[in-house]
Amino acid sequence: MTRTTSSRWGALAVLVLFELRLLWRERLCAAALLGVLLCSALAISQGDHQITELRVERERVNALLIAQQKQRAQTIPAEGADAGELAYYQFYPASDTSHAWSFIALGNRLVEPAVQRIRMLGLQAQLYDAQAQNPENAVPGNFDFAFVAVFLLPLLCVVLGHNVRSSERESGRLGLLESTTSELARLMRLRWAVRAACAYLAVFLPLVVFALYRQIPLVPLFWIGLCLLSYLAIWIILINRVSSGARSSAENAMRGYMLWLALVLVIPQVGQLLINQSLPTALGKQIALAHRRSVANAWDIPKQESFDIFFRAHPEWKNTPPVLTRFHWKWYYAFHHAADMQLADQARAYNQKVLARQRVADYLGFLSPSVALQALLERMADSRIERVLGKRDEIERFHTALRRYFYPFVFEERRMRAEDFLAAPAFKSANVSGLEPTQAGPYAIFWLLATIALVFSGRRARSTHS
Amino acid sequence: MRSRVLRAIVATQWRRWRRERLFFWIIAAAAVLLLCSVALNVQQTATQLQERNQLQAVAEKDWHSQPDRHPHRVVHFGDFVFKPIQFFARWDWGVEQHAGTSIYLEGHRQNSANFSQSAQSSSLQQFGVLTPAFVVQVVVPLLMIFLGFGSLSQERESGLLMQLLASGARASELVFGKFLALYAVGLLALLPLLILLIWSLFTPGADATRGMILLVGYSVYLMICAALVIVLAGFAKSSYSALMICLALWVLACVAMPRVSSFVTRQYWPAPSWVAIEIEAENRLKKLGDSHNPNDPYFAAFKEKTLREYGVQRVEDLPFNYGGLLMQEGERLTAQVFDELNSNLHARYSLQNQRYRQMAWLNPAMAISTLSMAAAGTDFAHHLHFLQATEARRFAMIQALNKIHTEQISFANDRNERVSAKVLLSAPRQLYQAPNVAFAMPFVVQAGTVLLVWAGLCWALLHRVARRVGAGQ
Repeated sequence: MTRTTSSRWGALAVLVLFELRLLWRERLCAAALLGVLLCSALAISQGDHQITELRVERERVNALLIAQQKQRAQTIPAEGADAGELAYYQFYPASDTSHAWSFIALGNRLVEPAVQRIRMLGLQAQLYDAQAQNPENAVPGNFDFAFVAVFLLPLLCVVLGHNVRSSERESGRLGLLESTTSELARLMRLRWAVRAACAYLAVFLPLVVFALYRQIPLVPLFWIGLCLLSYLAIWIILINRVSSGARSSAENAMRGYMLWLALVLVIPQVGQLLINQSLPTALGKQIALAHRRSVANAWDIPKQESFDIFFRAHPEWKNTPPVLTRFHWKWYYAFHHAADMQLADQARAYNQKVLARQRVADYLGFLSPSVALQALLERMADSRIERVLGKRDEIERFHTALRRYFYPFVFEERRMRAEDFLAAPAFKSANVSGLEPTQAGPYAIFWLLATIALVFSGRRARSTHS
Repeated sequence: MRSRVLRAIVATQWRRWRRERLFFWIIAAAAVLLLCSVALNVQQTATQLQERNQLQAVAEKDWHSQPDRHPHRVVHFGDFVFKPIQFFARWDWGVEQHAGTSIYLEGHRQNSANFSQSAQSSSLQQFGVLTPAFVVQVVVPLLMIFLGFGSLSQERESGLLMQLLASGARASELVFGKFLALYAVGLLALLPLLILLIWSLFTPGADATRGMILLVGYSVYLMICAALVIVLAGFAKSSYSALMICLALWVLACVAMPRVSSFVTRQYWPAPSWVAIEIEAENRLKKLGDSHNPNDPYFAAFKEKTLREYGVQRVEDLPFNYGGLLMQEGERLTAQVFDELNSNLHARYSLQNQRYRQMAWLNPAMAISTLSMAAAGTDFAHHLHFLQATEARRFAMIQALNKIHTEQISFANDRNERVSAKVLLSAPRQLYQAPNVAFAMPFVVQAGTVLLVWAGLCWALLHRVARRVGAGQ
């Protein structure tokens, strides 16, 4: 390294230190930085706390249900018991899943049941059972890392960035700077860089510390950091754009806040209402009604009608002894499954409808970077509707496995012994990674182009001014 | 204070806002946003009402199309209830986004309310819902900050303040004139609420008193906002620092604190999950007794007691169907266990909400949001009222059917008998009656007290600012 370059680095360090001191002296900026830093740390610990609570609850409920199963097994006599009756009373746990990074965005986790209880009866009547939660507590929204990143980071940008140029003009230094330094633009860039770095660290640093402290996989940290960086870049460009004219600091701040209000609150909220309006979800409730109708109706129609439907899916039981009595479990489980079969198309359509809501919402990410970042973080945390729909598929597979396990006992009218009862399949969920940073692709390209366009239009505007 | 001078100050201020392009656009944008939110929410409520009414009609048709049946078949057939929507949900959607919208009522168990909007929502959920209430609680204060931060401080910076005082205006007139000018602009945002209120007068089932409470509550809230802006503008070094302080407080009060508070209550007063409660209920019921087991001690005693009461030796000799009586007793026990566990859970939720309301002492924005939900009939207490009324409906219906079972089905031939549909369909199915405004009053009073104390504080502060301005500071 030559002497000149090292002295240039030294000069830069002095300038950066000077900028930092300047920033620190603006008391509001310092307070905002510290506030966001604190919020970020608190939000991370809150998110982590909630995820831990959910995990503890899952384990507790799982243990309770397994205890119930063991208890029931003890009541089974040595010669075995009626498998149909055993299956009727036994609920099996189907747990929600989370991974090491789920805490960054809680998404719909507090709305979805931690564990669903599934038994061999009609699935469509069990699948949508909701966890009762305190709805009033949910009104303000989640307090997690995603909130700090999506909501507070841009606000920090407004606070730190709206007066980068205008404060110089207002203090009368701008003219002086313009006449004495040929490198005004460089100074402005340096100031922006210092402030942006501070804003970035205030949000991101607690996450890094937490990840290192907890020793969780560090690769996602890189992707989250990258997403945050591009989000920050967009906001810097936007704030720079709305505050680059010859306006006062106060007016720049107002414009920044209005922009924030539009992009972070109004666009997503209007989008949400329009989605509610244009993609209604009455179908779910219609399924619930139809299932009840189908199951109740089965008691009034000839048993063979239900069996005919059921045997279409399970011809292997066609030649088992016919039901001649008023009630038999094989008939009971046959008509329960027949109801599910009749509703299969509607259930698929309902899932598609719910998924379509998320798809439309994702398109909104091209209109508001906040929606895009929220979507990305929730996807990384696996806290979106896709997880719920995937879980429903897994529950359906589990339900099928359970039926297939019990059917031989029920249809061949074999007694079930305790060890058979305990060997019934258990719900296993696929290992979720959830971290699909490739999803950021479309957003990244779009927002990159938008940013370039903004920068160039800004250049042109400035050159026409002068 | 002379009203003539006050009027002149207000008029001058308004003229200034009208003339400045930025202010004009800010007000126009807020007005458009408010109108959009009202239109969208009126429409959303209409759509939801239509959807639920249609589904309720289907449920009604299903119920009435039942053939002659054994009463216990009807117990298992059950009934569906779809949650009705309160009139002022058009103003404040409240918990409706997160509360279940449909409940299946059947014998032997209490089901959860399912299919809430938020369980079927996308990641947009976290940005909240655009309601007129949100616009007035969050956006309008921001607008008032933009309009008002320069009051007094700008005059002071330009030297106009001295001129005005020298020309005979009193400091208090100046301060309160600025305050009134700002407050009046904020109050314009309540015009849609006034229209809703008038609409509610002509809508059967709507309670206009609720609208009146909302109107008063929001008026006090906006007064606090306007006064705080003027006070901060009066105390600040410069108009710019007034703006930045106001904005920081706005972020704190309207964006950060509500979320932090709700999570703090969740953390320190946690509530068990619904599944855990269902399991607990089953375990307790198993301990209480099993009506299917002939050797069960509880039901053996129950049988003994019944036989003694009627002076007979065998259940076959009872003047009614003992099987039906067992059903009644079983249902009573089940409901008792579920009610106890549910009331524990709901007490927990109510405690969380109560703590949140207490934290609202620090933040009028949180106070108005709880007052607004309570008065609009969309808070948790109202949802709970619906849940409890629905459970009462379930219990009455099931027990009536069990009674029919006891009285009109013979014990000997129990399984083969049926009862005419006409008798079965006479089982009570009480339509839900939303509570009147008195039900909301405790919460309204609690949040209202917070707002009034803040208003009083602000009033006192306005006087202090007036003294300060008068002293030429």
